[in-house]
Formats: sequence, structure tokens, C-alpha cells
Amino acid sequence: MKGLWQVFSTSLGLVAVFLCVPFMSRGAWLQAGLTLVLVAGWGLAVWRRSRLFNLVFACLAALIAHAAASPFPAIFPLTAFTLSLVAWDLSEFSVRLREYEIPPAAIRLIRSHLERVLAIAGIGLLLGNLALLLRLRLSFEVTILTGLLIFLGLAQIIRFLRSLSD
Amino acid sequence: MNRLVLLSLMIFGLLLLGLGTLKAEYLALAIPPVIFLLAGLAYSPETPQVYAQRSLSARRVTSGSPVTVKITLTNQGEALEQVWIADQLPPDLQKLDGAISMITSLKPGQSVSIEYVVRANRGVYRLPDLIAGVSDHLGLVNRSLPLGNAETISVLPDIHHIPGIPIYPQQTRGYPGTIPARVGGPGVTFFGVREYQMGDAWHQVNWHASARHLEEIYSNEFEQERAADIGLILDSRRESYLVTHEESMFEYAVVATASLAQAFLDDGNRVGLVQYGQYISWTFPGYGKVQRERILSALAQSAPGESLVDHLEHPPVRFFTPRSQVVLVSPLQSKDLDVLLNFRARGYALLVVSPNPVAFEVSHLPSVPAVQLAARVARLERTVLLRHLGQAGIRVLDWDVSIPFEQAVLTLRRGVARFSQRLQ
Repeated sequence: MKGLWQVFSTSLGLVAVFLCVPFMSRGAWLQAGLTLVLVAGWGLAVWRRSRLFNLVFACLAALIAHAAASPFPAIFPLTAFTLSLVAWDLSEFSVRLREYEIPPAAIRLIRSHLERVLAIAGIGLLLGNLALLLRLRLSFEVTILTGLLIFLGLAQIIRFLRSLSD
Repeated sequence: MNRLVLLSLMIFGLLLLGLGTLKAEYLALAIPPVIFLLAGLAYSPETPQVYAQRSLSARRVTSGSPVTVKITLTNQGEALEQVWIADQLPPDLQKLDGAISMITSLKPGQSVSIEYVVRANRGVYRLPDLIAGVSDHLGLVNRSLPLGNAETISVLPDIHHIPGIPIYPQQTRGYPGTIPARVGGPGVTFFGVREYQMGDAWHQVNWHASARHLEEIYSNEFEQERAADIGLILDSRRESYLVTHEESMFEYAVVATASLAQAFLDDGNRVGLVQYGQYISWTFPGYGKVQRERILSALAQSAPGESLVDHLEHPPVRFFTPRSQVVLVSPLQSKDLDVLLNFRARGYALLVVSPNPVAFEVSHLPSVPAVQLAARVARLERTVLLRHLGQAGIRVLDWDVSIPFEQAVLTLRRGVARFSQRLQ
């Protein structure tokens, strides 16, 4: 559990850093303060075993989207969003772990979870950065068609996953 | 909120924002959650084949005895990233040791177990069906798997081994037992003298009586001892019992009923049980160990209830064999007097075991003059009630529950001895 907490608190701290830096550089003190409040609230929610962190995560995502619109390098909000995804996942995982007993033989569960989440986050961050570097010139029709296909594909995946879930 | 829904809303929101504003940053932001979503798809458990088995060290125990519960979870399908299971304990079941829940990952064919120890007071406790949860690594796809295996733990009342209680029903059964049958024959207690009959043993001959008659020889006759029908009635009306923070008088009544049932059955009698509570519930008369188990099971489930009508006014007389022995376990209310007199008038031999509510309540109250005065009045009322019962030929054991039941029962035996001495 110690390693889990370390990764969770580090990722949450880095979210605060990667969001506050662009806000403070623009003198947007309100947004920076709001970021710190949300991060603190998130930590508190997880500590109190409350699932309110989902709401905090949604608010933080909106703040990140707001930060992405600023002229500051997009790598900051992208990294903050990826790290907030990691923190969001670990929050759920830690709350669940505290609801149940972990047999001694299942300690590797935490380690493998951390490895997998960090790997997925790393891939997401890498692909996001690649996407930022990539510049494509698409016609309006192709853009609409691609967007539609992405929407439909994602909708199918989500529908399938929801059918699997309760 | 469902994690999958939240993630989907974010992805679609960012895509729409990116397409709407033609800003690549929003589209780039949508990539990490899409990767999370795809990972959830890749690692989601398709058809988990998990089986659970719950085993108990005992299903029927006495009050306070520990029961070990073991739950074994076996994965007979593909590897599962996260599996969790939690046993739902009834609130009155006290966990002494071990874990009642578990979260783990399971390889194909792997089994894991949890074990815990519980203890409870008298009652029947149902452990519901086991439900396991299965999820992918990211917790996006959660599944509940109902696994069955509901179990019941019956915690039987304590039984005090009490000495034989002297009872004298007018009617006995044809089988040998320990109850004086008011009929001459083989036995131990002297019953009378009759004319010698062929087959009488020489040591049976009453030489004193025979010496007074020249022609006849007389034999001693002994009282036969037979089994009897005994109907136990447990008063389960809530209004009859006092409850304090620590204990309820009803528990004492249940213990007394269980102990009486055990003692009467051990003596070879046919015993039945009727409980007057919210409803009338009965255990039909029977003999032996099986009947003892039936009665103890019924007592394990017994709880005081609010009666819709005063059932005691309508005794199920068909349940009790005519002129048999009836034993009522009740703290007694003043309105019960007429009912008990009615029972007696029908020819039943009635014994009332009455846990004393006055002594019980006084022991839990401060010793101030007002309480002492109230206790004195209540005692007088109770004495009058018990005296009325005694005058009607109903034997009463006024049991102060601070005294062990087996000790209290001895007063019944002493009372019978004094009664016999007076007769001689």
C-alpha cells in the first residue's frame, strides 16, 4: 500500500504543478488557487474513502481543458491530464483495497496494477505528444468523416464495455 | 458515478471541443483517456468462471460457541486481474478473528481462501448468497457474480442439566418411564396391598397382613412408573418480559424451557412445545433425541412478539392430551389467572415456571425508597397471584433469575417431599 500511496500522491502533486505553472505564468491566480483546492479536496476524499474524487476529477478535467485553450505549451495540460487519470485510477483502486482484506499472497496485485497503469499512462502521454507534433491538412469532408468514424467506433467500444459491466 | 460513463463523457467532450474549435490540443487531450478505454477493453474479463464454496465448522452450536467459516474462491476460467468477495454478516453475529472479505488476482485454476471466526447468542443467523466481483485492472468493467452457497447458523439455547422434576399427571402413557402412574404394578414406591395372585414373588408377600387372615395371603403392590405426555408452553408475548440494556428476561425463559424439555425427554416422556408470541407456533409431541433437536431448533428461532390477540385465552387444548401434564414458562400477568384456572378445570396437571420479573427489575434499579416501596407493592401483587394459583392446585416455581435454574428447581423437589411428609 505504501508504494500505491507514493505513486498516487506524486501524480496528484505533479498535476498541481503542471496546471499551476501555466496559470501562474499568465497571472491567473484564481485558476491556480482553484487547482490547489481541487487537488487538496481530491486527497481528502480518498483519505476519507469517499468516491467524491470522481466529481473532483471531472472538475479538474474541465480546468485542464480551460488551460489547454491558453497560449502556454500544450504539453503541460496534457501531462496534467494524463497524471490526473493515473491519480483517478489509483484513487478507485486504493478505496477498493481498503474495503477488502488483501491476502498476503496477493500483494503482487498492487505492484502489477501500478506497473500496468503507469505503462498505459506513459503510452497515452507519448501518443498525445506525438499528436501535438503531427500536423495534418484534411479537407472538411474528410475531417467530418474521420470524426464520425471515431465517434461511432468509440461508441461501439463503450457500448460493448457497458454490456460486459453490471 | 460509473467510471466508464465518466471516461466516455470526457472523451466525447474533448473530441467535440476539438472538432468544434479546430484546436489540436483538445484532440490530443482525448488520446490518454482513449488509451485507458482501449486498455479496459483489452483486459476486460469476458466470461469469468469463478466458483465459491463456503464451509462452516458447525451449523448448530450452543450460545457463545465459536464457528469457523471458510470461503474458498476458485478460478476455472482465464486469468482474472481483480476479484473480490465479501461475506455479509448479520448484525448480531460477532466476528472474533479473521477476514470476511478479500481482493486478489487469480490465475487459471488458482484457489484462495479466507477464514473467519464468529460467535453469537441464541438465534438463527442466515449467511446470504456469496457475491464475487470481477474487474479489469483499471476498474472500468465491473461484474458481479452470484455464487450461491447461502448457509444458516443455528445457535441453540443453553441447557442446564436439572434433576428430575416430580410431576403427577392424571394420565400417563403405556410405556415405562419415571412418572408415578397411580396404577399398581411393578415399581419401587409402595402403592397398596392386594390378594396374592399366581406369579407374585415371595418377597412381595405382605406377611403382616397375611398373618391376620387364615385363608388368604396378601401381596404388596407397587406404583407403576410410566412415561407421560408433557406439553411445554413458552410465553413469548413481548409485554410479559422486561428488557434492560444488558439482558432480557425472555432469554431466561428460553433457557428454562430448553432445560425442562431436555430433562423430560431424558426421562422417556413425550414432549411437545407451544409458543405464544405474535403467533402460536408449535412443535408436535415426540420422544427422544430427534424431538430434543426439534424443540431446541424451535427455541433457537424464538423471539418475543407483539400478540394480535391474547392467545392465552384460547389454549389449543387439542394439542395437549387430556389430563396430561402442562408446564407453562411465563413471568405471568394478572390477566393470565383465569386462563390458568380454566386449564386446571379441564383436568390438566399444571406446573408454572415463572421467572420473577419483580426481582429482575429491582436488581437493575437503584435502591431508593420509592423503588423499594414500588417493589414491595409489586411483590405483594405477585404473591397474591401465585397464592391464587396454588389454591387452584397449580404448582408454581417462582424463579428469581439471579439463582441458577438447576438450583431453583430443587425447591420443587423439596416442596414435594414436604407435601408427602404432611400426607404421611
